[in-house]
Amino acid sequence: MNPAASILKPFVALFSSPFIQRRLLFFIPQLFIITIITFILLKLVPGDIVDVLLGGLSTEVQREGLREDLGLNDSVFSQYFTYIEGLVQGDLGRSFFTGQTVAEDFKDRLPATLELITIALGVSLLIMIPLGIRAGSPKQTGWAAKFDKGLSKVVTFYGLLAGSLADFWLALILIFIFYATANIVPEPGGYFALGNEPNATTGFHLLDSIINGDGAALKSYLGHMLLPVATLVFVYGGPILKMTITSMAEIQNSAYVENARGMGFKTGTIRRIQFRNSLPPIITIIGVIYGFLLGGAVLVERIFSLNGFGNYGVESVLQNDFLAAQSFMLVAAIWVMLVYLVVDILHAALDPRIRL
Amino acid sequence: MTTTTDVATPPTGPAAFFAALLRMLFRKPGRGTAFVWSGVGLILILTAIGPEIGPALSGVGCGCGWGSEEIDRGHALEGPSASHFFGTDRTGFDIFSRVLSSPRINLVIALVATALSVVIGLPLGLLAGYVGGRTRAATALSEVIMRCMDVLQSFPLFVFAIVLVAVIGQSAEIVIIALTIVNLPVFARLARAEMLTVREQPYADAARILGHGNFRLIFRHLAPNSIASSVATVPMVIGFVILFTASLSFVGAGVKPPQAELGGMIRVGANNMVTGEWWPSVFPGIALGLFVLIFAFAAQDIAVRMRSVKRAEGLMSADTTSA
Amino acid sequence: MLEIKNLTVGVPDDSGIGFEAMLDDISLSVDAGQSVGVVGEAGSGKSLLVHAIGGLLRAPVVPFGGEVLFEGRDMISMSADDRRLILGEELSLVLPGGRVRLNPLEKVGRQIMRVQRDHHDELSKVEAHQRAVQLLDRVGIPDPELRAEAYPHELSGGMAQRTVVAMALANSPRFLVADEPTTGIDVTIQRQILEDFASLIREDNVGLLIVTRDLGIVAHFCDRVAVVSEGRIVENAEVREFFKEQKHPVSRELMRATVLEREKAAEWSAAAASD
Repeated sequence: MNPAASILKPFVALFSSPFIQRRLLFFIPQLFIITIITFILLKLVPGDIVDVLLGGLSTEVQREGLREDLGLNDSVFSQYFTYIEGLVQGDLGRSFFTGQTVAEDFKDRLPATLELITIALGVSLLIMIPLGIRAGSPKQTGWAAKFDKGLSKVVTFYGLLAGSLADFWLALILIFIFYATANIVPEPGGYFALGNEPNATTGFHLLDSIINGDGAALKSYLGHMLLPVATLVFVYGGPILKMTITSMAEIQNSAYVENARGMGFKTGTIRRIQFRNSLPPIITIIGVIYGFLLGGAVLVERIFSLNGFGNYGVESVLQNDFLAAQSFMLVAAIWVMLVYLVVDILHAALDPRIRL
Repeated sequence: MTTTTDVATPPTGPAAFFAALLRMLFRKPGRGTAFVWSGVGLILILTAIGPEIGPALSGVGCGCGWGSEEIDRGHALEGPSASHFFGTDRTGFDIFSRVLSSPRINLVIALVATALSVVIGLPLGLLAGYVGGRTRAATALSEVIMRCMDVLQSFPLFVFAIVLVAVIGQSAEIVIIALTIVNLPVFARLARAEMLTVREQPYADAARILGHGNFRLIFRHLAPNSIASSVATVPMVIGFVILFTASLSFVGAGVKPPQAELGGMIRVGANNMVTGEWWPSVFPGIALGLFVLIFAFAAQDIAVRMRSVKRAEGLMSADTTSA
Repeated sequence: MLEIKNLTVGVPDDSGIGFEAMLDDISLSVDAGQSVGVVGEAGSGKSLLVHAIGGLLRAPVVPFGGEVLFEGRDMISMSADDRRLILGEELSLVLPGGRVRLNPLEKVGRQIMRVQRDHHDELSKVEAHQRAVQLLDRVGIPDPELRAEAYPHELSGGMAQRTVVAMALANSPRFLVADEPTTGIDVTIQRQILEDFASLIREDNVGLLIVTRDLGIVAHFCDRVAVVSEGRIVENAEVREFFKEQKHPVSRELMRATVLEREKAAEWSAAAASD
């Protein structure tokens, strides 16, 4: 079999599965439903939008003019179509608060938040998964067993804590300990200390500082990111850890792992089998968290004064910046759907039974 | 007829079910469980009378009592002391008293929202689970219900709640509505999954053969046995809702001061943390964490009990292979 | 070849000193080229014996005494590393359950290859694959090359069980411990597998310890039979003697149950034939 074919083969197998095809098919309608919901939500705002937009004093002519502009005199259906038309062209409305188009606002903020949550997720995986693997398949005998027992206690305690602590509260505590008291971290506020921003090549701060070889910017960024990332990792890594442990423990007791041991498989082989078979629920929960965090990191963003995507959404809601809020919800929901789609594809790639 | 299959005999009918429920709840109290449930009890007591006993309790040290919304002028932002156990915040509120009063808001919202989610989501899930696969139309209905749940769940919770607040206005009622909608799919999914297993049980067939073709009758047998996992999740959802309410208030989209709500209190004290005045935010935060933790433990406890009851009464899908 | 001496396995009781025995003072031996059947009621502990031999006991069940000597080496007290060199290579277990014993995420052929390659580093993938296909053919699976690329859920229950047997035979072990290898399988395939075992015993001098509830299998394929009840061996006899006369009440009960089944079977087939 020529090399090109052997690389393509698994993909072909994957995408020819009825499950994946159904999933992809559902994607477009789901997108539409999301746009419908966001559209309807805007229509639910009580009172006259026009009044809010123009402020207190305005003439009827102005009001009528704005109504025409916004298409409010058309039928609901044609309004919706105009909305969709605009979306497809990338028109997400204009923000009253910032004065820019919402699309521009997103360009300013989305990359930074994506970067933050991806870094946080990456660090969580690096810490929680090995920890979970170890805690989920404890050695029964020997000196390692004592360590595993202690580890298991610590991990259980942490799991409970992580699910109960408010992330914003933890952020405050961390600031208090590491900044106000110990002064290890730079003053919380923004992604960089003033003047240390790198050239905004991509908008992804970490990447930009690396691409531009800007050492000072890199250091500043990492320093400022330390506490926010730590907060996110502590709070949102918990469920990942718990799921890894549960899944590994369940697989360890499965009939086929027992059989593998009875057949004299190497320990490495057995561990690999255990891990790979434990993956599906772990992937699911990672997806749920990742999808949630784009908008959900808002609390941490606010505390650390990071001008992020979630923060933008909340602010626009509190300022009654309707179009911005609407587009925010749209983008957040689309992000979640994309993440879930990837999760489903990964599931199908791992488990042949799902591909049916 | 020589073969006798071991048909599990589960409780049928609502009366028998509640008897089983009560039996489960009062089964062997372990050491930790007493702790947990007295914690729950304490929270419930505070919910009921917190604001009223605040003045009495907070004054124990000095003979002066503070209501949860009373301002102590001239003593704003003071650390913990005999007259203010938890100190005062920047407005002058007594934090101890406010912490005692906070369960009322937080818990009422949580209980109502969770109850509503269950009342709406559970039957939907049971319906979807029961009719799915029987007839084409029924399967379509079941699919539609579950896809709606998917869409509901794909909206990031926080975003969704905030937008609802923006659209309809800020109040405790809105928070309840937002949280109900957000938790609906959870119960619907759990109920459906359990119903799918339960309807294949031998006793379901038995009931059908006996002539219980009536849907309603089957609901009286199958439904009580399909709600176990949902019941076990309730305390967890309550804990989550409490946290979520606090988050919303922290952002400014939930309950506003001067009402005593933990998230709002943390918000008020946030800026003071940077300058070293830790008490306005730390105490409410600890209280918040404790409340959620207690409910998490309660959820764990119920889950363990449910598992042992299910095993004893053969409610789990019968594993008919003998040892 | 396999000598079980005074094996005691159980669960420590609350006092911490004593224990509750689940296998009590089991002694049994199987020579090369010999086949011994272990029979007993459900819950008598016969499966536990198999787990003990393979080092598969799970906490809190622990061995409390005795030895299981395979060619002189004690399987109970040896290290996990030593044990794994023997399992699947010199002594193979066939665990009950069929399909659940196979990794659902991996192709069946790869799993058979894995048994070989984890014991023989020098084997190439091609060689292992060839042998895997051969083994599938040997256990009576049609279209073995095709089936080797199948996943466990794509096989029927009978084929899955035969695959498990294939895995056990992959490295030509000298001893087989089979726990209910034929329960739940088509009768014709049952016979096939058992006859395969029988020929291994005859021609390759392989020893066999087979745990089963079916006295019929014992009658046809075993040299000796041991009856287990409540964790103890209550009777151990040559098969011919045993079927002539059972000495222990439990053995007699087992016989009666089996005979009843067969009588019923005879009765029904007679009834069916007369219609």
